[in-house]
Amino acid sequence: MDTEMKKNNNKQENQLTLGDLFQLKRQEKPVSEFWDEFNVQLQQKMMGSLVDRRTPICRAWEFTVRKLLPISLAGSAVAALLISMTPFWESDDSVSPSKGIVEVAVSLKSLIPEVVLASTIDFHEADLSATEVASLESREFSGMEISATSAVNEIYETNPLIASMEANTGNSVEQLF
Amino acid sequence: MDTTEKTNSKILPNPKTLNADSTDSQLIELVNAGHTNAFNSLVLRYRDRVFSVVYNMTSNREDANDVTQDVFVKAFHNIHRFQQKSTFFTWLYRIAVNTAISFIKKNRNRQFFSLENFEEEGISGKLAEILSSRKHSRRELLLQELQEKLNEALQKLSVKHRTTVVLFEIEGLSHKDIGEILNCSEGTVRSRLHYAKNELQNYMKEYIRL
Repeated sequence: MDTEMKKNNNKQENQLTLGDLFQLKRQEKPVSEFWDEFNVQLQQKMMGSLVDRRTPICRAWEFTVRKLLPISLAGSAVAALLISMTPFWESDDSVSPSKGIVEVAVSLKSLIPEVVLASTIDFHEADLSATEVASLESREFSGMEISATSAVNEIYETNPLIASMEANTGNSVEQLF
Repeated sequence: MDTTEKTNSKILPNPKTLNADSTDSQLIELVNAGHTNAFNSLVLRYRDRVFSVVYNMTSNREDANDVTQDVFVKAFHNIHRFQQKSTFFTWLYRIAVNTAISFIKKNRNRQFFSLENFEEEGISGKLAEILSSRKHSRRELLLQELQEKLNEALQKLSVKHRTTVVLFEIEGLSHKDIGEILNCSEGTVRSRLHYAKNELQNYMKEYIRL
């Protein structure tokens, strides 16, 4: 017990105060040779800074060219890349099967007039008389089936969204929208 | 204009008679008049103290070397702005503290690099007793350990608290001077000191008597 107390007392006696530590800090000095090198380096820096006495405008310009320009160029490049990639993202969305079908159906529904009777079909090259018009409606798809008089084995280039009204008879051409 | 020139020529000291007794004001006037050698006298006069402040703020002797040089370069280029409202050394300390703070903010992850030299004759009191009771090699080890621990503890303080402790406890400046340098009231200086010393005591509790 006594030994422990003595140890503690010794420990306390040997312990320092914060003041002692600050005193130690005050005695930290660089070696004398340090100042010789310091003076040489300082003279060099001062000479260098005297030579480099550019106007603030010059400094600002240099700063812009050296620091801001590369950053803004990199930013523009990234922005351009993002913009150029946007259509791919959008097309990715339209590839999703259910969505695509719905969109097509809606657009057709809105574009096709309410047809009761068709008279001619615009095939670009020739107007053909329509013989029969049938309306196709389902949940996913809306369209018309139009029959028109045509020459046998003739290939017609069609404009699928234009049809006029009134019916006629004859051979038939089928067009599915 | 003429009057000013005449007045200046009357006040301006002779650069050839520059010596250790020349006042800061005389040296500054000479520097402003184009006698750049007079600035060397100011550097010689204050380099130790500026270095000490910067070193104790950064705890890295290489950084302190660079920053101290930057401080004197800045002072040289801005000496014409010094209006003698405060003492030159307060003005120089302010540049030193601001340069050191911006250096620390830019280089947060730097390592400590302590000075290797102690002037043991300046150590007195309990520390001197402890040191004298030890053999040379053990004494050096203890000094090194204490130095490292204290530097670590100082670096754990915020820059404001560290600066206040360094200026008061190590540089021995008054509360008023510190307030002027740090642009805050004496009350703020006192409260920062109180807080910083408590923190340091906490960090150094293994080594010090509370």
